[in-house]
Amino acid sequence: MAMRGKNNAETGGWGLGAGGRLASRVSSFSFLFAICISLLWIQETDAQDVMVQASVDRTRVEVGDLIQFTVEVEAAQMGSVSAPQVPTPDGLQLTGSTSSTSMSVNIANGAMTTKRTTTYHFSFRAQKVGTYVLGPAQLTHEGKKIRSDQVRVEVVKRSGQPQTRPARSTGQTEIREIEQNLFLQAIPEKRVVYVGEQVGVTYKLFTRYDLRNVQYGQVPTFTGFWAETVFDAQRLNMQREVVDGRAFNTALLKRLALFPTTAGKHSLEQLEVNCEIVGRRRSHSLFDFDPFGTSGTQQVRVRSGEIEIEVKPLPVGAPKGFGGAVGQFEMRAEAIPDAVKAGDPVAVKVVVQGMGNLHAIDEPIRPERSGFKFYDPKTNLETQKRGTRLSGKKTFEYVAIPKKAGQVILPPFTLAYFDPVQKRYKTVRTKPIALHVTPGQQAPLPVDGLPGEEVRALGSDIRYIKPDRMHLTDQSLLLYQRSGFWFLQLVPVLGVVGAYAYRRHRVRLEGDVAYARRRRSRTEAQRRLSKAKGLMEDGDSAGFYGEIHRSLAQFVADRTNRAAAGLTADQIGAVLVAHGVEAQVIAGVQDVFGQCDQARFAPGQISAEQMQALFAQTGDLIGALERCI
Amino acid sequence: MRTVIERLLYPLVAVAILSVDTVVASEALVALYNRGNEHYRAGDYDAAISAYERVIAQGLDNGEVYYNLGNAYFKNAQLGRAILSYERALVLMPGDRDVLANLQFANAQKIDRESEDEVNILTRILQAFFAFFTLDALAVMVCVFVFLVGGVAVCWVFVPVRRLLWGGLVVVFVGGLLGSAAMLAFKAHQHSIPKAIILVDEAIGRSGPDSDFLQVFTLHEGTKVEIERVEGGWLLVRLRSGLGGWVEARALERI
Repeated sequence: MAMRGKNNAETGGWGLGAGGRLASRVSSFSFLFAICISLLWIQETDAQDVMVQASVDRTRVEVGDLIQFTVEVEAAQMGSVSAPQVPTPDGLQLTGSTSSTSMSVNIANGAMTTKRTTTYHFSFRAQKVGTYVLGPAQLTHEGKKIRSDQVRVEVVKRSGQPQTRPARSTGQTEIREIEQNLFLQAIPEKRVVYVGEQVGVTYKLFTRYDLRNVQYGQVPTFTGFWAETVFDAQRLNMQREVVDGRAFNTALLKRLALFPTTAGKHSLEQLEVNCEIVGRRRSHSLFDFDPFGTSGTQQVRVRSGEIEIEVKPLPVGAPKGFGGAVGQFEMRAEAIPDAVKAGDPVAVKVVVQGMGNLHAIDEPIRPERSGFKFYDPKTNLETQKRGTRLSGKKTFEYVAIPKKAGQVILPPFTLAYFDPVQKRYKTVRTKPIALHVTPGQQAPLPVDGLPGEEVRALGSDIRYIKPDRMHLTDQSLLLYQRSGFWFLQLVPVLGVVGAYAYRRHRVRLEGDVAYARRRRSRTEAQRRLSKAKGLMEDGDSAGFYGEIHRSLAQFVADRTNRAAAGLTADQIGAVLVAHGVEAQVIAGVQDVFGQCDQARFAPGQISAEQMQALFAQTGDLIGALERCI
Repeated sequence: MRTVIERLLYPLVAVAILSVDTVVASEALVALYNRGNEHYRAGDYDAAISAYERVIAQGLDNGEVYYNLGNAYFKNAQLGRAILSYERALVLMPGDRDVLANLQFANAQKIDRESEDEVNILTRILQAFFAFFTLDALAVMVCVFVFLVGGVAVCWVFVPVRRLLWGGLVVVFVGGLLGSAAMLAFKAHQHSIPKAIILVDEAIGRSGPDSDFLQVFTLHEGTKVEIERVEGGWLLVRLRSGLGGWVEARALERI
């Protein structure tokens, strides 16, 4: 009877990484047990022949999985046996090899045979889909070449589906049963995002079993993303949840905020969890010897589904200064203190706050030509994790030195970002800050009365407001826009015209007798008439009639430039006819003259009414004659 | 003759006096302005701004109100509006030293710098001389010269013997009249060109009146531009350097 100590970890631990701990432990016990038994028989036999056996842990794997290729070399003396050479097929990648040696002693019929077994483990990672032949492993023994068997391995496409696989090979029905009761879900917030846009992914474990030793196996690397872990479970916090009418215990494993760094289709690799189901036991086997009560557990590997996320590039038309910030941000600035001396520093704090990857936020654009000298800022980042969203604030602390004194305004800082919700670029600005800067070099204050000391300006500010008023006038119309202004310009024009006309008149009066007499005629007539009126009021009828006669005769003489003396009533009548005066007016003139003659040469009782009527008649006649001659 | 003068001149003078007479603001508006000053003194610039703006909204165009409003905006760190208010104050009170000083001060704070053309001393003296005369001063000058020319002409009519003296004076005064009238006309034309101040932090000048057109330049708050054309919500503006571009109308406000 030969017993062989054998590390049977290949059936369990490999390929599961850290999760294979229990399986290894079980195997170790079996191994120790085997050694103890084998030592009971002590008889040495010489075995010259060498046996080589090759095996794999599984014959069907998915891309990315590890295949364990084991070569067992059994020989009496190992010294002459070389290490096996295993060709690496194209499509698989050798990731490492280990070896272990064990000795078995066989005592039969009092003869002791020693057998040494060296086990070589080669692990390959499946890289491409296909069928591969592993082996033969080749080794040399005393110049002879020895070959092992070949093993066929099938590499299939990674399903991407969530799956649960018991560690050891089990029947399909059993797998299905476990799958229905234990699975891992990856829940992305959305599947189409922009570059830099936040996408939250939640990994959740659903189970109806009692689980133990839950450990992460393969953890996704999130190639093409900036990953920020928002939540990572330290222990399982089970919650009841009903899925399709069945109650599950669920546990939140991980929450991640992912920020795609490049455009294109990115797939998130699967998260793998290894655990043990308590109360389930796989089919009995010889080596499931369990002295420490670990029985009743089944090693299971659970994987989430693969998620594909489509990452869209940011639209064109990014504003100037866009540095890749994506999210929703606001910005504020403050300066402390708000009054300084020129040349003294002001601490300017610019805070960018909002949702998104704050790591990717560059310094906001400093105001150009602001009249300040800025030093590079000290940056401080505080992130807050709420749900799967990453938010927070990034603080840029500048030291700014005002270059000149006075009332100065610190212009806005600007930050351009892309808002994935509104799908457009936005620019935020801080509010301008008013600062009062007093001159740095303390100018000696002017002392009163000191000669030669000019009063110097200590700083500049805007001039003060205008005082309160009792009245305010509307100043909207300018002088030249007013019509009155242009009317005013007519005054001198009219003045010149008037002056010229007046001078011409004066000249004519001097040189032209006829003109002068004509111009004077009305005034003369008026004068005589008023004189006649005075005489009439005095009761001097003779004087009155004489004056009336003279005024009329003189008027006609003046108008026609004749000598009044010796001008008889008949002559006047003839002159008037010659000037084409209406017969009615001539008759009136003759009538006046007749009345005057009658009163002068045949004075009788003359009533005041008669004189009054004559006076009025004469006035009318002079007016009428003035129009005719 | 006298009757003609009486009939024409007296109503003319009356019209002139009436139209020169200015509109005086109601007591309520003056009180509102004084209340704005009170808020300003107390440092409550927001309240001061709203008081001054209300005075202006009720139709009173007064340089002092605009000047104080500009101060309040400046203290409130609204540079563009401060410059706009000072420019408006300057139109109403040309040559006011306070307005000029604060406008210069505010302009020194803005981002855009107008390119200072290389000018020789003669041009600069001419510019200063030209800037010295305000529109109203020029109008008064024109008026004075018209009266002087008229006066000399009247003297010439009455004392025609000193032909050389009168003729020389007429030439001098007519020259002065033509000069001041030309300056008035030129300044009035310049005054009639609509100008505006950029009020947003950054305004993009484009090659056409739509956001699809190519970007030509970028203007910042407080910059003064001349408006050449209006089309839809876009204005063709020209900078002092001669650079022109279309800017969205909401980015600026007319002086």
